[in-house]
Amino acid sequence: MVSQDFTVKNPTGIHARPATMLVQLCNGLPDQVMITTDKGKSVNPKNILSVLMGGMSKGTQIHIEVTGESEEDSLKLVMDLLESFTE
Amino acid sequence: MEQAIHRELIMTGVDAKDYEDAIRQVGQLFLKNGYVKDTYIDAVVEREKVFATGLELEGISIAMPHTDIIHVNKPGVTVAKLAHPVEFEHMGEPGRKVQAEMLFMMAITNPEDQIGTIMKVLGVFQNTEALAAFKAAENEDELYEAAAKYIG
Repeated sequence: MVSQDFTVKNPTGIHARPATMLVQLCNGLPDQVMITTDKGKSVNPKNILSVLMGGMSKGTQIHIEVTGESEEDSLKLVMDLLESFTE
Repeated sequence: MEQAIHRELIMTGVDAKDYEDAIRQVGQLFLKNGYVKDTYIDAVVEREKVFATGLELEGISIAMPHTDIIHVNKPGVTVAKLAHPVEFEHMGEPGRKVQAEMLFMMAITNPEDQIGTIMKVLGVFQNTEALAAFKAAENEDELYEAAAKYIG
């Protein structure tokens, strides 16, 4: 298992379009991905409703865990996407 | 966050032939009440094609179409019941179809408010009493009553 922390920076948060992009990316990964937020919520980033209800607004600190054969690569892809959100 | 529910943004019996028609009809609520610019509706339709907003919830399917803040004058959310379900694509899952029964179209001026609006609407439908009230509402007064009570 590999993990990394991240603070949501984009104004919309992980919602709507960013949420859609995260779910689509994670569903294409062979590994298990799990997110926990600083408010103690567990989010399944392969499920859009779970992501929407996660309340990951701007400033929220999240912890991303990836488990699987290509966990290093998958974590990098997830982090690159999170970093790319600007809207 | 400002009050989300306004009486003039409530609509029932929307008889739409497809999702674009539904967006155009419900979007008129925003347009005629000055919430959005005349570019808003086309922008929502275009965005829906690329980033679908259908959501299949427990007991009801809805859609939450919206677009960028440059098309909006002041914030609001429509509460619109369709006369019959209309097919949208599911948010985050291209190809998955949703038979939406209600449209919560959003006019957003501050992106940081968007998350609160979406969570409020989704939160409502986790409440079975609220779900029943929305389902039972047969006219705009009843729908407004349910929306004001449960969404605020």
